[in-house]
Amino acid sequence: MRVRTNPTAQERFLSTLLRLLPTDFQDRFAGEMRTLFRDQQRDARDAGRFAYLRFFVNTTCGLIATAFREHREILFQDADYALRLMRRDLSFTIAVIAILGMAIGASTTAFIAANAILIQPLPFSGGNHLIHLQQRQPGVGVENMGFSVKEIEDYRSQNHTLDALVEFHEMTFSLLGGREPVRVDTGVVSANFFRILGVTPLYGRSFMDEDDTPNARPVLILSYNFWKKSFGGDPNVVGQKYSMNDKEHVVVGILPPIPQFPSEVDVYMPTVACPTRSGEHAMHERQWHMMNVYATLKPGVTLAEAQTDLNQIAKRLQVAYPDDYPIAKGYEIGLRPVHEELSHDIRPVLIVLSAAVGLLLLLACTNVTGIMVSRMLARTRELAVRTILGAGRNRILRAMITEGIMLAIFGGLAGLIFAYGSLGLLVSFTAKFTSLASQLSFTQGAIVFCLLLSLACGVVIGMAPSIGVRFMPPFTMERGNVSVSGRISSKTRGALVAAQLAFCVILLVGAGLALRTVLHLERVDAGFQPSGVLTSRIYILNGTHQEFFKQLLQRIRRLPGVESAGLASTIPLHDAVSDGPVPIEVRDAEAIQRNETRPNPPVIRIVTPDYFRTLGARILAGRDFSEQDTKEATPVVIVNQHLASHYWPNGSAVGKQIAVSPDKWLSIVGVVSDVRHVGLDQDPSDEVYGSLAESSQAAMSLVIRSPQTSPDLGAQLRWIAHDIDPKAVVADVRPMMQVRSDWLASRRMTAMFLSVFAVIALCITASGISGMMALTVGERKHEIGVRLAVGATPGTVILSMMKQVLVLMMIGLGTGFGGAWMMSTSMSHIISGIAPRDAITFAVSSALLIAVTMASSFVPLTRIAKLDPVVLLKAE
Amino acid sequence: MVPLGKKRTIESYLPLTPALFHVLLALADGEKHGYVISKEIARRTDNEVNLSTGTLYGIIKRLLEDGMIEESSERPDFSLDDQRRRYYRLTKLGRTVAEAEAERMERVLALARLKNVLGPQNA
Repeated sequence: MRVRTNPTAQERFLSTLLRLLPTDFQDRFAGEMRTLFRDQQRDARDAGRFAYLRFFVNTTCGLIATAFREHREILFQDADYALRLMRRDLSFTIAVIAILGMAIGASTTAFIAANAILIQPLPFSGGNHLIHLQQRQPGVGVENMGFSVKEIEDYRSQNHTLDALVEFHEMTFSLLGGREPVRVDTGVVSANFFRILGVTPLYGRSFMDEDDTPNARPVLILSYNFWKKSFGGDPNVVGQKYSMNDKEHVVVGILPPIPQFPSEVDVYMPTVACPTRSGEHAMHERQWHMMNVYATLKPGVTLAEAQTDLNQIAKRLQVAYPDDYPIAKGYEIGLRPVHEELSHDIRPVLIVLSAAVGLLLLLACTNVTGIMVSRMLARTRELAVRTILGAGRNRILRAMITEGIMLAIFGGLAGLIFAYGSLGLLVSFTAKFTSLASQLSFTQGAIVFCLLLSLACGVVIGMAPSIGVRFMPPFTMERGNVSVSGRISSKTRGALVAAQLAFCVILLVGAGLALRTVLHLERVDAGFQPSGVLTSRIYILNGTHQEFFKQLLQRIRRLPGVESAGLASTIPLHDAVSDGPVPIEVRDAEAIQRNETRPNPPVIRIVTPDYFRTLGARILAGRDFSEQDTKEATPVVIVNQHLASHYWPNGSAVGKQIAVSPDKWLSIVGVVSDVRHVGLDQDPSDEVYGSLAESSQAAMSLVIRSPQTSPDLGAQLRWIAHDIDPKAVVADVRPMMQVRSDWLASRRMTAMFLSVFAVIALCITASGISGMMALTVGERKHEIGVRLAVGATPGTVILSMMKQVLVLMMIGLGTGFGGAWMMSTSMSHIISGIAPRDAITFAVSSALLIAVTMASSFVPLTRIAKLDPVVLLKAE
Repeated sequence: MVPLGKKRTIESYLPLTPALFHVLLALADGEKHGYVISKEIARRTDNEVNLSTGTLYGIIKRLLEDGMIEESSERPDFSLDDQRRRYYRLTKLGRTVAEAEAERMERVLALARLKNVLGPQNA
C-alpha cells in the first residue's frame, strides 16, 4: 500500500500546468507525467542550480506548447467534423445560419449606431469638453432663450470658471457669384469657434482673431457637404470670391466631414460679417436673444462649479437691469454637454431598438438551441457509439460547442453582410435625429463586435443542448436510456419554446405600440388640410419686402388652377425654421390674472390674408386679415383657439386687446382653429398671428392651394419670383402632404424596424413550435399507436397533445406580458397618443401570438390523423 | 490531415520532427518508459535534446494515435516494477517509419556530400 504524501510546491505547480491540457490527455497521461516530472526534477537538482532553473523553464514551456498543440488539434478535428455534419444536413445549416445571421446582423447594426452616437467621443478633440450654455426663464417655462451680444460680453468678462466662450447663430443669406444665386444657411461664429472645437480645416485655414474685427475683410469657411454639393469637391475654391450681403467674401477654408451643431449649415462667417449681428439693435439691446453660446471649462472645474459661477452673474444682471430681467420670470444658466445634446433625440429610439435586437438575438439563440437539442436527440446513437469508442463527456461537449461556434461564425459572416448592406438605411434613419449620423461607418470595431457576438452565441447554442447530456445516464444504445434522454430533452425543448413565446410577445407589443403611435399621428387632426397644398420658402435680399410679397401673391393667385395663396413666417411641421415665444400683455382684469399664471408665452407668427383658408385652418370667430389691414390702419391680430379659451374662457376674444411690446396695443379681430405647428405629437400652444402688412420679413413660407398640384406650379412659382426680383431665392418646394410625411418619417421608420423585428420573431417562434411538435409526434408514435389501437380517435389524441402546447403558451405569454409590461414604460419617449400599457396593443399582440402558436402546432399534429396504429405497433 | 478511414502511406508520415524521430530511435532497441526514453535521448545527444514532460508525452500520444508505438503489457519483475509507469514499444509501422526517415536523412546527407556541403571526414 502506497503512503500518500502531501504534494510539494513543485508538484502543485505541475498540477496547475497539467490542467491546461485537454481532459482526455490528462486522464490518460497525467500520472505518468507526474512520475517523469519527479524523476527529471531529481536529476536537475543534482546537476546544479542553473540546470534546476532550466528544467522548470523547459517543463513550463513544453507543457504550454503541448497544451496549445493538443487544443488546436482537437479544434481542427471538431471543426472538420462539424463542417461535415453541416454539409450533410444542408437545410438545417442554411436555416440556422439565416436565423443567426439576421439576429447577429441586426445586433451589429445597432452596435454601429449606438457606438458611433452614444459611446464614441465626438470626432473633434475639443468637442467632448464643450458645454452649451442655456439662459433659462424658469418662471415662464422657457428652457433656452438664447443670449444677446451684451449678455455674451458680460458672461465672458465676469466668469471665473470658463476657458473660452464662443457664440453661434444661424442666418440665411444669398450667395452670388456662382452659376445662379443660392440661398445658404450660414453659421455666424466667434473667430475661435473651430479652435476650441479642435477642428482643422481640410483645405485652407480656420478663422483668425483678425477676421472678427471691425473693417476686416469678410471671409467664409465652407462646410464639407456644401463644398461637395456645390463645388464638386474642388479644393481650388479656397481663395475664390463670392458676393454675400452686398459684400465680397473670400473663401478661406473648407471643413472636414464633421457632425455640425447646433444645426447643419452650408457656410460659416465671423460675427462681424453678419449684418444683423452687427446692427444697432443686436449690439445694444439685451432683449435681442439670438445667439447660442458654447464654452469650455477651465481645467479642474466641474459643471456644478461653473453653473454656480454663471448663476451669480445672472443674479448680478437681474439687479443691474431690472427692466430687462423681471424677477417673476426668473433668470438662470443651465449647462449641457454638447455630446449629450447631439444624441438627446435619438437616445430613446436607439435604446428601444437596441433592446429589440437584443430580444431578437435571444429569441434566435433560443430557437437554434431548440433545433440543436432536437438534433442531439436524433444523434443519440451516434453519440453512444462515440462514447463506446472512448470519447469522454467533456470531449463530446467540446465537439458540440465547436459545432455551435462554427454555425454561429457562419451566421456572424452572414450578419456582417447584413450589417454592411443595411448601413445606408441606418445612416438615413439616424440622420433624421442627429448630425452624428455622418459618423456611422463599418469599422473594425463593428467586425470585432460581430465576431465576439458570434462566438458567444456559438458557445450558448453549443452548450445549452449538453445540459441534457449531463443529466443523462451514460450513452448506450439501450432503448430505455434513449427514452430517458427524450424525456429530459422534451422538457428542455418545452422551456425553450416558452422562452421564444415570451421574447416574441415583448417584441410584438413593442412593435404594436410604435405602429399604433404612427396610426394615431396619421389620423391626428393637425388643424389644417395638407392635401392639394404646395409649399415653398421664399427669401429676398433687399428692396421693398412687402411690395415683393404683394406682387408675388397677386400673380400666383391669377395662375390657372390656383384656388388661393398666402404667406406665413413659418408653416406647420417645418423644422428648419421656427418662430420664437414673446411674452404678451393683456388689458382686462380677468385676463391679467390668467396671464400671470400662464407658464409659456405665446408664439408670434406673421401671415397674410388668405393664409388660413389656403392652409385649411378655420376662422372660428371674427374675421381673417384683409387687404385693408395696412400699416396705417388700426393694428390687429388673430389669436388661436388655445389662447382665446385660456384668457377669455367665458366670452369672445374678438375685440379684446393684447400687447407684444410695451404700449403697442393690438386688437384681436379673429380666432383661428388650433394648428399643430411644432409636431403632430405636440399639443397646440398659444399663438398670436400678426399681419405681414404691419411687419417686414425677408423670408416667408408660401402656401398655394391648387387641387391639381402639378410640377409646373413649382416652375411657374420660380419664374414669377425671379421676374419680380432676380435675386429672390425660391427654396424647398414641396407639397404640404410631403412636409407632413417627412415629419412622420422618423416615427414610421422606427415602427417599421420594430415591426420587421416582430415579424421575424413571429416566424422564428412559429418554426420553433412547429419543429417541436413534429418531433414530439415522431417520438410518441408508439404511445399514439397504442391509444389509437385501444379506441381513441385522432381528434382526442390531437386535443391531448394540444394541451401541452396550451400550457407552454400560457407560460410564454404570461412571462412575456410581464416583460412587456415592465419594458413598455421605457418606450414612453417614442410613443404618442396611446398609453405605454395600451390594452388594445397587448390584446392584439396576444391574439396574434395565440393564432400563430395554434396554427404552427396544429399542422404537425394533423399527421396523427394519417397514422395507422397497426403499422405503428408493428414498427415498434 | 489525412481523412479518417483512408490508409496512409509511409511517406505521408515523413519528414518526422527531430524529437519524434529520437523517441522512435530510443524505442528501437526495446520497450522503455518515459523517464528512460528522455534519459537515453539526452545521453545520446550530449544533452542537446532534452525532452520535457509535456513535450515527451505530446509525442507519445501522437505516436500512439498513429500506431507507431504501443503500450507494452509486459511488466518487469514485480520487485523492480513501478505501477505508475507505462512501457512503450515500437510497432511494425513505427519501425518502418523510423527506417524510412533514416533513409530519407541518408539521402539528404548523400546530397550534401555530393555538393561538398558536408565533408567526407564527417561521413
